[in-house]
Amino acid sequence: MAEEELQQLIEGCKRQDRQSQKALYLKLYGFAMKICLRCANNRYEASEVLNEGFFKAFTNIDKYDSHRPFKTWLGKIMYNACIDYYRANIKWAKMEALEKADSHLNAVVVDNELEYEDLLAYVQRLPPAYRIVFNLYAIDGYSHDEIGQMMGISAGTSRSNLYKARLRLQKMLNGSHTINYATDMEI
Amino acid sequence: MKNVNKNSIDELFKAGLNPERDPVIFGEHEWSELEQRLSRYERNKSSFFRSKSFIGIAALFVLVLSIWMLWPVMQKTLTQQTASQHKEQEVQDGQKQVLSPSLELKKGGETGRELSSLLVSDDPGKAMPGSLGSDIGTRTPSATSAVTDPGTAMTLAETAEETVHKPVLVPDPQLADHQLHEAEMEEDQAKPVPFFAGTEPIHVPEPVRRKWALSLLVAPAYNGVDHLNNGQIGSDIGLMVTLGLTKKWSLSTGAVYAKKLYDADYSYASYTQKVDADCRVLDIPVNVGYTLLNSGKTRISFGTGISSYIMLREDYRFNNSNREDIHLVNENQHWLSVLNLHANYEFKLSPRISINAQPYMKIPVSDIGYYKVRLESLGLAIGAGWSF
Repeated sequence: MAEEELQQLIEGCKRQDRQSQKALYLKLYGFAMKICLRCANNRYEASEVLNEGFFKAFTNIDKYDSHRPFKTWLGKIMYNACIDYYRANIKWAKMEALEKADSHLNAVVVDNELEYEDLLAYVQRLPPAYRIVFNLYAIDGYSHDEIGQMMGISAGTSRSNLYKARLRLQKMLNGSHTINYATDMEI
Repeated sequence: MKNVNKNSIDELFKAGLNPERDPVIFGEHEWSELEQRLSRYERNKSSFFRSKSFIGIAALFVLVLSIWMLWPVMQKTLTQQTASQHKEQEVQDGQKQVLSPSLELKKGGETGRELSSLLVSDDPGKAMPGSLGSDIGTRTPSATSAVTDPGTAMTLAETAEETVHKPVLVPDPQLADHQLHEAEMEEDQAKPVPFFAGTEPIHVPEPVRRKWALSLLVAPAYNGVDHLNNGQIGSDIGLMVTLGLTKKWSLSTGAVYAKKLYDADYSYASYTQKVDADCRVLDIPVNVGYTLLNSGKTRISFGTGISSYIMLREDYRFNNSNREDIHLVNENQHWLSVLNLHANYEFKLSPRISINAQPYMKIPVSDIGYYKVRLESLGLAIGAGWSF
């Protein structure tokens, strides 16, 4: 999308013009939905998070700095909406010792032909606290300090969650572990 | 097939979860939900500003009313102070001027009666009837009014010889209002009267008495969202401190621990869910009260104010949904967000101890809690108070 067109839509959104809002929603629906699907448990919750994120974006669009990429701003809002959505679970996440953590991550053999849906299913089976950290760190390149700030946890907890997320994903990729989701949620 | 280590796990998912194509096809119903929500938000926002304006106007009205109600007291106090200052001035002048051997009295009329009520005595504690001695300094009626304290209605008692130097003030409540009036009316005409040289303090205006009260309140309360819909009975318990500003007006604050139970429709994106809420709230109100009736042991008052809600604990349970329950601790604070309206019936068991019943209503001016609902409360607080 041309940046100029995007800025025009943003200006329309600032005037609370419904057509501009819808046009922006349509343009960035796919981008936002990818984030939400990665962070949510399923398609329905992803839809809820997506609309919550867009709602926050539209109602706070005056705070957007037009000198910075809009997608980055919107992406962060989507993550924050997701964090809010799963905040109750995130708050209960505990930090675990990471000594010898890497040693548990052995090389695994995976199928080259893993599709988007397969990978998404793996990520969605992670507990929210692990899933969001993994997405923020591994997919979108946030630092642990930034993640800690966004999620209201320490950088150490973020590292711990990332490690546990990788460990679980590794087991899933190996196909040797069936995730007991109910147990994971108690973390 | 390929080997994957921890970095490769990241790379595998980073590449795989960012496909070129959009993973989900846009659904019109999703936009419709968002559009409705935006419309509701815009309406609520405008009504919120209207309600803020209403609260502002109400606060202004209460302020003006307070000033109007307090004004006569303030005016009276000022008049008392003016009369007192005038009196002191006269006392100083009296010390400098030559005393006249006679006292002129108006015959008949109010002033004459005032002067005839003046008591002359050797003993400050003993009142003596009759006219003033011929050796007492000359007085004018206005001077009498000035000398007599308008607030506490003190009349002058003095002996024929000694009172010139040692005036004695004896309280006489019956003259208070009239003499206050005289002091105001004749202030301009008043002239220093050289009839005594006072050495004792004549009068200190009594400040408005402030009275504190501590009360313990327990209340069943009905809590609901949006006009008390789907409400449930909760309970409040709290400790309040009240400061009596005047006989009519009081200011109160305190802390109330409230258990707020309610059901709400949680509408989010494409579907609506029912949520059972159990919130524990620390309510910190600041209220202004006005006494309508204060008769014997009974006092009836009403009041208004604003509360801050500190959400100590929030539990949300979703009905008919796989969504996980939400449990939050100390997550939300809503400062000055709830309008209080209350009436109060108080019955005094003794001068210090009273019991009271207080119907009240709490109307939020902003959204409350994690799910941002308009949580209203209607309750009846029963309590006991101790005045000090």
